[in-house]
Amino acid sequence: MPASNEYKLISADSHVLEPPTIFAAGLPSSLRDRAPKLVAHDGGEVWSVDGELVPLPATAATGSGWHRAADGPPTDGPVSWDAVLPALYDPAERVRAQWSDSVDGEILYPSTGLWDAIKTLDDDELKIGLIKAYNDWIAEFCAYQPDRLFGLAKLPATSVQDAQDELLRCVNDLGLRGAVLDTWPSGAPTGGNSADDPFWETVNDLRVPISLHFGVGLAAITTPVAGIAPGLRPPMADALLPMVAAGLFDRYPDVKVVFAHGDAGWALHWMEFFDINYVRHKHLSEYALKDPDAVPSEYMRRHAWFTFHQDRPAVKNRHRLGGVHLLWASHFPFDDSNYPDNRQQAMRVTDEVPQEERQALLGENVARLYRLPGYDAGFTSDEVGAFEQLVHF
Amino acid sequence: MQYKSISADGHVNEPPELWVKNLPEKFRDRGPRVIETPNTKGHAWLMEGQTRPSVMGFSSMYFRSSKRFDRASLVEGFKQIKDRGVRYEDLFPGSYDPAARVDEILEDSIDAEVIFNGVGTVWTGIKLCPDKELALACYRVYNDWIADFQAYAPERFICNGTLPTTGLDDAIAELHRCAELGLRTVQLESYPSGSFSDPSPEDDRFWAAAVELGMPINVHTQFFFPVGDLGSKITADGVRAGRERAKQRGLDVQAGSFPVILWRMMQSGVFERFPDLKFVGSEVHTGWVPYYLERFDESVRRNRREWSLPLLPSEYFRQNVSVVYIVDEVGAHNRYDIGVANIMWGPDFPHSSSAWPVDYELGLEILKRAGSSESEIERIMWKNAADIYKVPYEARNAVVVAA
Repeated sequence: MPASNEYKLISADSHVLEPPTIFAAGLPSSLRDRAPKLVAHDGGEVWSVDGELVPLPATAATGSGWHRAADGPPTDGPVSWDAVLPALYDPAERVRAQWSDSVDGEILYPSTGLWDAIKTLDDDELKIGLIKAYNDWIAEFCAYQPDRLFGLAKLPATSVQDAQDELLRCVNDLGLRGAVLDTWPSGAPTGGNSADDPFWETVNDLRVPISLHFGVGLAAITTPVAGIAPGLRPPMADALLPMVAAGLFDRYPDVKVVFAHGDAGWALHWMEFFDINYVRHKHLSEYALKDPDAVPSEYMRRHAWFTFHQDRPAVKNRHRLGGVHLLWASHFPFDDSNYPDNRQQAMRVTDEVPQEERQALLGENVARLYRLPGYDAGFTSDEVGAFEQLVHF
Repeated sequence: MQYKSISADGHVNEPPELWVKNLPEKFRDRGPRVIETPNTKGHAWLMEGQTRPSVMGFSSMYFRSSKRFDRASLVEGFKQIKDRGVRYEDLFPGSYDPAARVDEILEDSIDAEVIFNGVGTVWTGIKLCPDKELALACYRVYNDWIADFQAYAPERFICNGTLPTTGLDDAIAELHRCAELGLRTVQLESYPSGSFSDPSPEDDRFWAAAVELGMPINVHTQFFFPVGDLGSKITADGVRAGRERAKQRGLDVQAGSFPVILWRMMQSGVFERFPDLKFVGSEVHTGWVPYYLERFDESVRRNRREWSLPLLPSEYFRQNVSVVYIVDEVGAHNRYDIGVANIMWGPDFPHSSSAWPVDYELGLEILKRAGSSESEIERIMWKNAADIYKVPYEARNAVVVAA
């Protein structure tokens, strides 16, 4: 680890907000009219995505719902672009915001609502054009300070080939360290469909983590729940069992899936029940695991990583989930972020963890997962498989 | 003699001729009856207004195991009914005969049992029945019968009345009638108003009556929407197919799940207005509770102006709610973040999730492995249930406590 670059706190899930100028430039003139643009609406601005109006993130001006709530009752009106934190689209400002927040680096995801609208557009060429424009932009954004800004590629789901091509381009040419899927590349309704195998083969070869963010699928919402709500299992969780059942991780053992913005406190109980059902009712199952001695949760815990924010149950149960599989995240600038006090939040949520393990949760795990500068070695197989058995019968 | 084990979750399978024999004369031909399905020769329930018979599912039966999780025995049992449906002869007789039931639970070292209806099967038809008067008559027949079942051994059986989904006044009236029949708890199949998805302010009349009568209110697993089987727990495809069917009918499957019911109950202030209401989630398990409450509390602290209630969700949980599990090792390890006083053990006998006849042994083993003290084990294995259902700790002399 280079002396100039000591990571104490890295957010495994933060977001940028796409500046409106990036889209039209990357498109052929025939498609420019259909590119998302900001339009005035009700005292602020909203995206117009081929006519569909999409609000800017409600906390784009504050960086967290914490301050939004502390400053007075939330207003429901659209945010105006002038009020948006420049750190969401300007890399120099972003690094300053990281200093304010005492965060040493961030894995950067695209915004959510905008892309949920884009993914339902009916024109493949348009969708690919917008995705390429984003990827070019985020690569340039991160080049401003490559040891602090780590953008994920956005992948098209127009075809498996398109997803493979864009992943190769983003990793090999643009230097991005992972990618996020909002829809399965083949258009399959669930994870683990064999039609997606060529994509996973490419992922396996490249050894880059693939993220899901809250939801996955053409109709899925990828914006997490805001406001008052209990901790529930996020919709993307449903992808994991079909992937295990389909033998995906047997065929492509280097595939790593990151469950972003969903926490992990729900996961152990949920996995325990897959194991119980598998052990007790194997004869009724329509799937069998290749390893006859394995249970589903072993595959799940080997191949899944989870970001977490305010989730003490996950921290407390880290030995059961696997200590290397938990990644602290600031969620900047979403509702549940604590910007500019995310360091305080990170210390509070891990305050019962011994120093070495705490350092893993707060920065080292994510640095090793994405092989950040100074952490090229990744994980050993033993580390990835170090978790406690859930079911003892 | 003092209890050492009270299962907070067991089931009957309703006697095949219960409604044929006991409905008022005018309804007798229209009520639930057991038929034999033409293809598999299994038994199924059918009543007026129901197009598809509700077959007796695999989950309604259990197979005697000679040792723990004897999968060979389960597989053997499954093969027997794979190509022919489940028939009443396949069920344990204690499913409907209280004398046989006593022997069955004693074999598993269970001293007493909280008993629920058969879930699904006959209830699908009753809930779907378009004639509210007929449906209500069906609920009443069941409640009369389950009260008789309990009366065989009231020290051993704490039976749930089943409340009608036909409307608020019916639910309140039947709640009172169940109390008069000597039942000590009831299970709700919907919000008191009859809605499967939304609480309403009028429900307060029901909660007030429950508190006044001292009746704990049970929700068994969830409010089952009458759309048939919402999907097997066993395959991802089954779950997906179930959701798809529900979506086609315009129902939000999540809306009836216990975590969502609890969310709506808390947020609408039911537990603030009725601090003495006992609300029990049966067969909902426990391992999900710590994260559920962690995020709920945090979201309230962050949005304080939007939460007009004085307590945090976790405080209402500790005050009003109990959760019942079959086996749940994650929950056992995390019991302090759930509340030892809020957890009850209940192995779901005689359904196929039960490990009969070693449920008691397994229940102890899981709690011990998680490092529970003797007093914690006592709380979870029987004392919490005794407190909630007002069972005296010392059983009357007539009761032989299981060895």
